[in-house]
Amino acid sequence: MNEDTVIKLENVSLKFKLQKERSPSLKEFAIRLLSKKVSYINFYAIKNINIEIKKGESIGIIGRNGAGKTTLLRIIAGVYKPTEGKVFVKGKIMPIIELGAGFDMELTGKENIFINGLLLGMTKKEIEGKYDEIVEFSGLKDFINSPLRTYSSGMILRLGFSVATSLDPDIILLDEVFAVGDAEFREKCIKRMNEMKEKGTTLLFVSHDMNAIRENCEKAILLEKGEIKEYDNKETIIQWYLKKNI
Amino acid sequence: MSKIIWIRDLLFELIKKDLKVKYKRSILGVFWSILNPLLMMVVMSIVFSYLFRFEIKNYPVYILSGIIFWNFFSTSTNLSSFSLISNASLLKKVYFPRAILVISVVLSQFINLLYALIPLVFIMIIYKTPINLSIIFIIFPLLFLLLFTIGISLILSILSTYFTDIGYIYQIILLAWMYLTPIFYPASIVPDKYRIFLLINPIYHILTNIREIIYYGTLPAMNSLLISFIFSFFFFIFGLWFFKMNENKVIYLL
Repeated sequence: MNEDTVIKLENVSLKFKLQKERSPSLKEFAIRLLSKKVSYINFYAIKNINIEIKKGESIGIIGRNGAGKTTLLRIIAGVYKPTEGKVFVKGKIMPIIELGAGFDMELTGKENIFINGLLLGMTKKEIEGKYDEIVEFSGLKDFINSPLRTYSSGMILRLGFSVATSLDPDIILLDEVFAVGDAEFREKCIKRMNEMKEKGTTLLFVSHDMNAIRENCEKAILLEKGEIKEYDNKETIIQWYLKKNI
Repeated sequence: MSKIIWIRDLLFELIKKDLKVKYKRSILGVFWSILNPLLMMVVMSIVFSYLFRFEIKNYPVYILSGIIFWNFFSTSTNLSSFSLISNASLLKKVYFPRAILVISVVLSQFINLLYALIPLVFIMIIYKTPINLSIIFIIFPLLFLLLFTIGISLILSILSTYFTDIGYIYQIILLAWMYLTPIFYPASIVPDKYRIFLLINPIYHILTNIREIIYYGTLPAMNSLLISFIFSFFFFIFGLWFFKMNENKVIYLL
């Protein structure tokens, strides 16, 4: 593997073996099992992906709904184990897929910073070192000791983004999170993303917003039905995508 | 090495969170952990000693030395059967050793159990139950109970993700299990032909060890301690294995 490579997928596929009905009741399952009627559908959420991403690259992932964009990010994050192929990831990975997942509404902002940071893979000591910076960036200093249920959804978003980006990740996985939040905080986020890119952080960015892809990425991947259709310079891919959608 | 520190920190913080959230809005807070078993004991003592008339000496001590351990087991397993489902959005976002979610629930209940030992000692003193050095041996059945509970909790958390109904069925199983375990009544009233139900019940063996130490003030019999040990290690190891085998599959169902 090349020294600069931070992410490498080799022939990665994810095959779902789904029961026709999701999570059936136990009774139904037993009846169907006895009458040998448990039927499965095989389908590939991700099919035969080969890709190598180098340190500091920023790559947009484009595709229609259900093309496998989020699934691909989850495989890279280690949440889903691929059924075939190999995944190599080097460095600390920060998934900003659902901001605020893992927050507890009864706990204060401060307590949530620690829980969330720990869940994202930091030790308590590391979080303590970054704590002031996180609070500063979120702009929530006056509310940090209030329970999260008193926060607005925008405030929760700010806290989540601050925690995730303050922890010096090597790889950031972003999934449509700029869609929310006010203009001012959006600016702040984009500025921070750029700073991180300059420091050599690798960015994987899922979006339907072609302008956001243009602003943040150099290259792009076009996903279709779980397969990489094209992987090229961002403009080429965006043109492709827009043409196909017409 | 830093991974071990991280897991320790994470576990510690999750337990702290569980305990904090539990009592956050109540006035008496953590005192409920102490008060609750006492109040249960009062109710049970009235019901069972006046209505059913078991001839058991120091009945409140007998009840309390059963009920707080049973409560730990039933609350932990009940809560953890939903612990993967209720953390679905988190589990789909970031990878961490998922068993931590289940184990932290059990451990925070275990801390509650330790609080509940305070009223137990208090009641033992009131009823003049002799407390001697052999009480140190309580560590063994406590450890076995903890391991057994973690094992069952891991299994349940996976099963109830496959089949949502398991969580509800389990509540009924727990109710039956409670009445089949000599918590309120003496084991001696169980007719011989039904004794098999006691012998295959790991909780019965663990409770027997606990009562020998607390209620009778003796050393636990070695062979019954060994049976508890085998049962709890078996379920602990099996639970870990079962969780490991299935954790990557249930993630798609969340």
